[in-house]
Amino acid sequence: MKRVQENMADVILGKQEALELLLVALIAEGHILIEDVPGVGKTLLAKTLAASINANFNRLQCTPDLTPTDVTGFYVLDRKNNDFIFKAGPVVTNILLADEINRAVPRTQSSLLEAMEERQVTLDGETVKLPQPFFVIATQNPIEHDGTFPLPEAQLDRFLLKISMGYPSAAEEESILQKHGKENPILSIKAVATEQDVLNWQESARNVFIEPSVQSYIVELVRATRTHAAVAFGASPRASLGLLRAVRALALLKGREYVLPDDVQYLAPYVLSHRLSLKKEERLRGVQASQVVTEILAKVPVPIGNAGE
Amino acid sequence: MSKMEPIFTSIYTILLFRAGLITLFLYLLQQSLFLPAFFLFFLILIIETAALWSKLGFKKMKVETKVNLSRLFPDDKINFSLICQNEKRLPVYLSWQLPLDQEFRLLDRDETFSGGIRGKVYLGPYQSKEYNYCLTAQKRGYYQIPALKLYSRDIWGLFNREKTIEHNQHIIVYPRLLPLEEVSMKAADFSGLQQDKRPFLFDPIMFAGLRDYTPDMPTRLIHWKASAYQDRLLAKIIEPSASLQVLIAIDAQSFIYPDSDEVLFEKALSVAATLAVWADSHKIPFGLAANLSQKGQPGPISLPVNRNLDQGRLVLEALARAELAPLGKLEDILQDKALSMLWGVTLIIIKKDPNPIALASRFGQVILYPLLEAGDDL
Repeated sequence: MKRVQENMADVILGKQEALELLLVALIAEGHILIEDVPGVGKTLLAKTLAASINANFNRLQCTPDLTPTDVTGFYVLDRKNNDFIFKAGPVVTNILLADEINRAVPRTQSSLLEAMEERQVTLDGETVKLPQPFFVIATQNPIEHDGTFPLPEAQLDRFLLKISMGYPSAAEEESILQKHGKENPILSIKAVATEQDVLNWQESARNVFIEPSVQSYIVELVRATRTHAAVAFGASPRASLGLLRAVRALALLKGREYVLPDDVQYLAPYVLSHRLSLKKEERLRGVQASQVVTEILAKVPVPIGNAGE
Repeated sequence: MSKMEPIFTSIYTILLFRAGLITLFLYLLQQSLFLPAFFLFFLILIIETAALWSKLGFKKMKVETKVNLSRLFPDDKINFSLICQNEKRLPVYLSWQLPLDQEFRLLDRDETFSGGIRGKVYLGPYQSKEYNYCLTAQKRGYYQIPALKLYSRDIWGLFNREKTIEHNQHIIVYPRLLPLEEVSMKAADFSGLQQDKRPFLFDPIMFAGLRDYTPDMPTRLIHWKASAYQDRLLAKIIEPSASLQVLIAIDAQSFIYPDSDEVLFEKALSVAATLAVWADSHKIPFGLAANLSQKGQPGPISLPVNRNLDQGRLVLEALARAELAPLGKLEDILQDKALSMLWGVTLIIIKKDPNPIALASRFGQVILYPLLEAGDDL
């Protein structure tokens, strides 16, 4: 895991936190939504991960005319055998980059739901299993809204984490010019892990120890989102499960065999913010979901016990 | 950022006067007038203690201000908190003053408001106190909260020192929303179907495919030819030919010429805000264009049509900042917007007169919204 992180850090300069969160989502068997302005390296991040773990990579450039079958694939008539054969869409891969996902119409966005949750696609009554590991990295641009379709709540709930990368610092930007000015950094990257390694990490993450009090803390945090005055619809039980998987993955990534309440506090904004649906009046008054999560984190008592001993 | 300065509150603050008292004390001692010298010494002691007290009043003193809401509708309640924390042994007497715009009203307090917040407190050693003021805003606008003025004084009130606490807090009061019946615009207006009682080609009209017919579907959806061919009832799947999108436009010039009419202008902003909130709650993409200047923002208002979750806030904020000062022609702004706009956007123009304006052909339909009199039904 460390080698993958270091390998990616050679290409994605100065974005340690984003890299860490990306790996957390991968190890936790989740998916990640990256929202940021163009040109900060969202696509490069996805390509670098795929190259680092030697996985199949497909890119789906979302546009309003993209149809569900453009995503999932379709059956075509094989004239020789007089039978229908499955022509796989880009979703049948290990790492799928859904670029500018909010440009696709809701019908097409929804075609990813089954793939993301159940790791399969169903076409004409037949189910096709997706290769393992399956990881969706979706990007969206927060500044361009003409011709975009905001992701529905059900779709957002499928993303384990929502992050933004942010602009690099002046020193980092200089390093980028120095390092990437001559050639495409992707060409120089080498695989340092395999798909099987990723599956092993996912298996190990499932066995990371979590103290019952820390588990209760997760439940309390998620429940608090449902009773907060500014929230219309709080986080779902899928969010609790997601947070649990994410904190286990983070602990594993940090070389621990146990989860700390700090892990929960660190990941809660990334896991919960995009799943909260704020009341209309609060939204108009400029209240942000991240503010609500911060408020909840400050209010819910942190367990003090013997976690990790 | 803050600054501290002494202010004139009594004759004892004049240094020359205090020097004169000391000289007089020395003279009395020299003349062996011990009783008057003792009284004078006592007076000097009090004055200098008071001077030192007021000087040290702001040392290790933390004052924090907080506003719970920075964006609100008229008559919403805002909580302004002032937290004073004395982190030293010396007790302090503090008072404060925050001048506020006349559009704000203080609730749940006996104190006289008189255009600002005033208060005073005695803080013992290491004591902290929080004061909450409940305010309400009456009128739309962008209000910068001015600097807080703090005064520290000694127990006798001889010396006062002033400290100004600068902060960059502002309050944005959105236009007042009108009841939807008052706006009286039907959803059908946006798709241009109001006149058609039973349109032959209703929207949605785009033929997208076939599916099995179920009894809850209208019979006119049955595709008879396909049903006959398949020997089972099939229904047409139809989708909207275009998605509903609304661009709200305000023509500021019509509210200035020939006569400036601020009341009607405020109503125009309220109508625009009401339509925006309606579109936001129905998840209809909407935007705002107006040849208006904005307080604290450059250029006219031009917010592209979209369905972003922040769009409602951005539109209301722009309307709150709007000032009745036209910037260019509305036609020019619309022409610019039309270039980057999808086809079929419904344009609602809010203006004082019912005269149409020249428009780009990209708009699906144009609804003119004349506001003839402030009290009129729209």
